[in-house]
Amino acid sequence: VKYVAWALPLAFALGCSDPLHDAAVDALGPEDPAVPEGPLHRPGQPCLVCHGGEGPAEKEFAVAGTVYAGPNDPTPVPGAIVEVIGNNLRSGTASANCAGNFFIAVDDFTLVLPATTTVAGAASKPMLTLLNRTGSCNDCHRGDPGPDSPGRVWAPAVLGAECL
Amino acid sequence: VKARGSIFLSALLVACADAPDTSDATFEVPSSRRFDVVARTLDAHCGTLDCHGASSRNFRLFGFSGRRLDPTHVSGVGATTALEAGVDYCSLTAIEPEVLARVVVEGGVEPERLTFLRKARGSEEHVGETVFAEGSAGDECLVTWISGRSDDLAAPCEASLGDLRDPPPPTDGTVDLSACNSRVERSP
Repeated sequence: VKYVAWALPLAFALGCSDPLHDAAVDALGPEDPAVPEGPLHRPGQPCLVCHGGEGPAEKEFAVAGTVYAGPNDPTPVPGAIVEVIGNNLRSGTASANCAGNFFIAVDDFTLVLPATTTVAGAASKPMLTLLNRTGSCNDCHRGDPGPDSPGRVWAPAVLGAECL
Repeated sequence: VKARGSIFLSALLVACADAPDTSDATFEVPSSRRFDVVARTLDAHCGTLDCHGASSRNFRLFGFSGRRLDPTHVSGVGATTALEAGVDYCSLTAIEPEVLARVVVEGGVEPERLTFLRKARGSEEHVGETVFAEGSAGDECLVTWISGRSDDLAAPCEASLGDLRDPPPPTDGTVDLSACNSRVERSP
């Protein structure tokens, strides 16, 4: 009886864990010790792995990613404006911070897919394809361009933009 | 013109010891003629990298909006190629070839027997929800193809793109099926 009393809560706890999600979080690796956990951390990583509602981050985002100066250029573009227009024609906007990171919280915007996106730096640049399944921009915009990535989210740098 | 192609399914059920021998089974499927425009519609609406353009999906599409077949090509750059359209064609016709063959033989009636159409219409559980509502241009594009009316594909398929910027296919309406049977079984 004693073992059952131990085993039941343990089985329940294990059953509630999603090993795929846990593996995805683990795959992100540790924090950069030079960057405190917060809006500037983990640029270029798929934000909604942790901020998608399954944790471990508390803040849940509808849309998030990182804006760079070019698909091959890892220089962040602070001040770039990202606008997402959902299938219900409601839009959400966010401004990139010093790390190039941008995010729109679920409390501020409900993303109704499919959605279209525009990134505006010194010039406005519409995304050529739809968001069909996720607002986690860096899921698809992974590193340099290749057969399974269009490269980084990018916009021409905003001259004189101040870091947020 | 009800041109119909045929797809030869070889050794699909090798792993199923009790399954009947279907090694020489053939199924009539809709023609690949002008499938390039269907592929463009599928690519734009279904084949993005976050959906069926991802390698993790079991129904996989290749093209401009998603994953590229040629490792030297870049997602989002350059039109969907004839080879990619051909792989998309084979991918789509291999989902449920028996059901597809029945629908084709019966002239395209009750196309909702096909899972992919129900998914696209959102009448069956689909993470992407309703992609092409019944009667919409995208739905018409698929139904026209299933019905074998290749000559009537261009208008609904083109209309389904709306404001999307998928570049037009560079081909003359043909698709290249040469990459479809590239599977090679390793000898035991």
